[in-house]
Amino acid sequence: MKALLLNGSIKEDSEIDALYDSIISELENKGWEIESIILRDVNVAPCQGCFECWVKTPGECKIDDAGRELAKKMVQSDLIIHFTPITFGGYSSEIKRVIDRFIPTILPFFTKRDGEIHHTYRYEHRASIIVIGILPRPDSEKETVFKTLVHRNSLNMGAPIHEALIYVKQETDGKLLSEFNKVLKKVEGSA
Amino acid sequence: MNQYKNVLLLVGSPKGEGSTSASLGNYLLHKLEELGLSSEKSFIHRLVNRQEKQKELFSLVDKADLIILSFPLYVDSLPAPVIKAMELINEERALSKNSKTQGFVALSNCGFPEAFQINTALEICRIFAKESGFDWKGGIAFGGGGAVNGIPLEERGGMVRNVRKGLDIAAEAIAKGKDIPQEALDLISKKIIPITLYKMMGNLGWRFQARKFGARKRMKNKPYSSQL
Repeated sequence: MKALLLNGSIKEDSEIDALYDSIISELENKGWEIESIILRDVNVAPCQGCFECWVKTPGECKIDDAGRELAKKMVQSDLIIHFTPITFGGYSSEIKRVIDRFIPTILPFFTKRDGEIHHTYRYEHRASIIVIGILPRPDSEKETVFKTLVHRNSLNMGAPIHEALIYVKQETDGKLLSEFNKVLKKVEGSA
Repeated sequence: MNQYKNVLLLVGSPKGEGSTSASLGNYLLHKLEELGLSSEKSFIHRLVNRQEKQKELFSLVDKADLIILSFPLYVDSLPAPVIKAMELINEERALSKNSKTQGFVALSNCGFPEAFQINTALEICRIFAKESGFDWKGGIAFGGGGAVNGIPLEERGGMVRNVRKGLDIAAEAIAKGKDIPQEALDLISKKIIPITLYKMMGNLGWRFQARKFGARKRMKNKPYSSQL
C-alpha cells in the first residue's frame, strides 16, 4: 500500500522532525511504500481559483509545478498523511497551499451528501487521510476547530477513513504513535 | 458616534477585484464610508510573497482602526496566501504590539448554498484575531457565492436584497464599535434560492463553462488513474 507524507512544518524543529521520522518508521515496519515530501523545500504555487481544472483542462491544474505532481501522487496513494503545526485551529499555510491544489481531483458538480451540498468525486479510488497537528501546549479550543476541519475536509474529498491526531510538544510520542497505529489498522482493513 | 476613523479592506481572493469577496467587501466598505470612515483596500495575494510587500501589509494593518478580511472558502478553510498573511501578521505583532484597539471582521463566501459550511473558517479567523490582539467584531458567512459571481451587489437585484440589508445593519453596528448583530448574520446567511434549484443551476453553469472551452465531454476525465 502507498502512503504520501506531507510535512508542513514552517521551519526545522528537532522534536517535530524526530516525531515525523517515527511515523515513517511505523509505516516502513508495516511494509508501506512511502513517499515523504518536506513542503518548505518544494515549489508549489497557490491555487488561482480559476476553475480551469474543472472546465478547461479537466482533472489537471494549469500550473505546471510540484502542486500538480502532488495531486497526482495523492490520487495514486491509499493514505495521505498531513503533518502540520496547528495554526489558529487550522493548517499551516505550507500544507494548505497543497490542499488547495487538490481540487482538480474532484468534480465541479454538486451532489447532496450527509444532507449537505458537496462536489462529486472524480475518482472511485480515494485516499484515507490522517492529519497530525502539532500544538506548543494543550488548547481545547484549537483542538476542536482542527478536528472539525479535518472531518469536513474528509467529507469533501471522500476519504474512506480519516483521523485528526494531536501532538502536544514536549509530551512523549508514545500515545500519538499508538493512536496512529490504531488508525493505520483501520486504513489497512478498509483497503 | 463612530468608534473608528478608518477601515482597511483586505481581499483574500486570487481573483482580486473581479471576485465575490471583493463584491461583498466593497459593499460593506462603501456603507462604512457613508457613515464617515475613511477607507483603504488591498489584495492579500499581492502582499505575502516578497519582503517589501510584507512590510506594506504590516504598515496597512498597523494604521487601520478596523480591518475587514473578505475571502472565499477554499476546502473548508481560508486560501493558503490568506493563512500565510495571518501567520506573518501574528508573528509581526508578537514583536511589536499596537497600542490602539483595532476591530476585526471576517466576511466569507462559498460556492455551496449553505452558509454554515463556512463556520470552521470563521472560527480560525476568530482565534487569529484573539491571538493577534484584535478586537473580534464577528464573522459573516454568505453561501451561494455563484449567484453573485464577482458582480457588485448593487447590480444583483432582489436576489441579494437580504445580503445588502444584513450588511447595512452590520455596517451601522461595526462603525459604532459594536459586535455584528445576529439579525445581520442571519439575513446574510439566508439561502438565496432553494437548494435543489441552486444545485441544478450550478451544474448547468459548470457544463456551460466547459462547453466554451470545448471540454464538455472531457469534464469527467481521470488523468491520473492509469497508473493505479
